[in-house]
Amino acid sequence: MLQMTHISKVFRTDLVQTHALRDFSLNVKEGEFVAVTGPSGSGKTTFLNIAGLLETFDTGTYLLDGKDVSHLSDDSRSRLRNEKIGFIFQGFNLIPDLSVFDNVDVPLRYRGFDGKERRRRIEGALEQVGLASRAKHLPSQLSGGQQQRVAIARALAGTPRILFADEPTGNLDSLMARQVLEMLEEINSSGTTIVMVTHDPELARRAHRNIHVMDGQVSDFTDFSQASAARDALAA
Amino acid sequence: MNLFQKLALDAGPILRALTRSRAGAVLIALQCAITLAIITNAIFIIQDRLKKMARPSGVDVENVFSMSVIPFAPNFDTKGSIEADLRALRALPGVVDAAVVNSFPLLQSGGSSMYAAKPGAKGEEYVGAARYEVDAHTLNTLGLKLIAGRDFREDEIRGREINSQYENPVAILTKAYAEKMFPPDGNAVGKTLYDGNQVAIPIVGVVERAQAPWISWGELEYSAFFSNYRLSFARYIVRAAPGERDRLMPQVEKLLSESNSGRLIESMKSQTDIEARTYGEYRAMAIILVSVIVLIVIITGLGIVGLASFNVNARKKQIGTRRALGAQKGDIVRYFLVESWLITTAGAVIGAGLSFGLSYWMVNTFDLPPLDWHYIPVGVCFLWVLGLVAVLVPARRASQLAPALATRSV
Repeated sequence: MLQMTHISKVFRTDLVQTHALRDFSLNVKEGEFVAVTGPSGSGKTTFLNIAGLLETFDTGTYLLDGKDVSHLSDDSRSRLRNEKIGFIFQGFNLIPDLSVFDNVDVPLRYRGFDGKERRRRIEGALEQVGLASRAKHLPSQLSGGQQQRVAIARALAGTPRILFADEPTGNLDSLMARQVLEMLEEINSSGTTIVMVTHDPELARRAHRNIHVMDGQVSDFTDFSQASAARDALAA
Repeated sequence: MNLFQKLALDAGPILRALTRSRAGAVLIALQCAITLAIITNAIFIIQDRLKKMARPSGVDVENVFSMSVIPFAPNFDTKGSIEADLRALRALPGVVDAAVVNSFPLLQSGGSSMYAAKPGAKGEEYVGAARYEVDAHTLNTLGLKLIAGRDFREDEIRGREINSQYENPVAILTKAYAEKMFPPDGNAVGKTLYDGNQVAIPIVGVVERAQAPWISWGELEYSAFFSNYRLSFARYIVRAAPGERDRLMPQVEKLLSESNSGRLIESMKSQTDIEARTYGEYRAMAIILVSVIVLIVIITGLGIVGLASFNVNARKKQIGTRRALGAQKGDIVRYFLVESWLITTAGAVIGAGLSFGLSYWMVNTFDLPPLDWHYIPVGVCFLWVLGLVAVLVPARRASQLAPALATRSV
C-alpha cells in the first residue's frame, strides 16, 4: 500500500539545513495498522506529511497504492489525496463556520460527487461515528471527542484506501481517547490501512506494528501482530 | 463538472459560513451598497450633464465672437456709432457678417418675456421665451437655420432705448417655441404674437434652433427674435469665415477702439469660450464626481482586498486543511472569488434600493431627473468585477499555502 525507499527531505533556510528525513524506507501493507512513534523533532510529522502527499521529498521513491507519486503535479497530488487518503488531525481541523454536515461534505465536494451521493455518504459516515443526530451542529457545540469523531467521519466519507492519523487522541481525555482508538481499530478491521503518528506508547501498542523514528530514520520495528497472535495461541 | 456548476456548488456552504461569521462581510457589503448608490447616481448625473453640454446651441460656435459696447462720452450718438461700427466690421476681409444684439444663446445674460398666441389671453396662456432684440444680420451672423418664412428686412429694424415700447416689431421664433405657441404643427409664420402690453407682433419666420442665454432655464429652446435692437447695453456679434476667427478678434478690437473714442469695447470673447464658461460648472461637477467615483471605487476595492487578506491570514490552517482534503489551488481561488461575489451581491441588492432612495432624495431636493434604472444592472456588474478583481491577489496567495499547514500549529 505504502512503499517508501531511501526518502530524504531537507529543510533549508539561509543559515541552516535540517535533515528531517534521511534514507527513510518503509513498507506498509494493505490493511495494516501501523503506529509511528518517536520523540519531538524526530521526523514523524515530516514522514506523515510526505506519506500523505502534503509535502514533497528531495530524493528516493514513493509508491502509494502501487502508483509512483515522486513527480506528480500539485493538482494530481490533491486529487490523489482526495480519492485515496483520509486524514485525522490532532486538532481535529474542522471548519468552525460550517456545520457537522458541511464539514464532512468538504472533501466530497472536491471529489465532484452529486448532491444525492454526497448526502448518502455523509449520513452513512455520521451514522458510523454515532453523530447522525448532530449533523446541523457547529463544531463549537460539540465536545472534543465528538469533534474528532466528526473528523473521522469526514475522513471515512470518501472511502479512503489509507488513513493517516496525526496524534488523533492528543487533545482528548482518556475516555474519549479510548473511544476514538476503538473506532480506528474498527475502521482498520474493515480493511482500511491506518498509519498513526503518536507519542503515546500505550496507543502505539494497539497497532499491528510500531515504527520508531529517530533523527529522520527508522530506528526500530516492533511487530505486535505476531506477539498478539502468539498470545492468542498460548491462551488457546 | 463545469466551472458554473462548481461555482454554484461552492456557493451554498460559503453562504452558510458567511451568515455565521458575518461582521467583516456585512461591513464590506454595506460599503459595496453605498458605493453602488453613489456611483450609479454620480454616473447618471455626469451623463445628464454631458448630454446637456452636447446640446447644440444653434450658433456657429467655431466662428462667432462677440463684444460689449459701452458708450460713455456725453451726447454720444449711439445709433450712428452702432451703424458705423457694423459697416466697418462687415467690410473687414474675413468677416462673414456682423450684427447688434442684446444677448445671444448661452451668454448667461439676457432677458425673457411672456407672450401669448391671441389677444386678451389669460395668465396661463402666456408662455415665456428668451427675448433677443436684434437687427437684420443677426440670423446670418449667428449661423441660425431659417426653416420657415423669411429673415428680417432692413426696413423692419428699429433701434430703441431700453425702457421704450417696441416700434412696429416683427418676430422670428424658434421651432420649439413656435410648436408650443401654435400646436400641433408649429406653423407660426403669418400669425401674431402678443406681449403683456398687448402689442401685436407679426411672426415672419421660424428658425430651427436657438437656445436661451441661460442653461438653467427649463425650456432652453424657447426663444424669440424681435426686429428692434437696443441702443444701450448693446453687443456686437461677428461671424468670421472658417479659420479666420482668431486672426480677426484682435484686429476687430483694434479697429473699433481706434475708430471711436466715445465708447468702450470690452469682453471680447469667442462663442467657444462663452459656451465653455457657461458649462464650466457642469464640467467642474463632472470632474468632481468622477474623482469621487474613482476614490470610492479605490476605497471599496481596498476594503475587499483587506477583508480577503485578513480572511486568508485568519484561515491559514483551514486553507491547509482544505488542501489536505483534496482542494486544488483552483478550488481555493474559487472559494475566495465566490465568497467575494456573494458579499458584493448582497451589497448590490441593498445598494440597488439605496440608489433609488438617493435618487428620490436628489429629485426632491435638487430637482434632478430621476435615476434611469438601466444604471443599476450596469453598476451591479461593475461591482461584481470590482469584487472579483480586488480579491484575486489574496485568493492567489491563499492558493499558494502549503497543504502541510494542516498538520502544523499556525
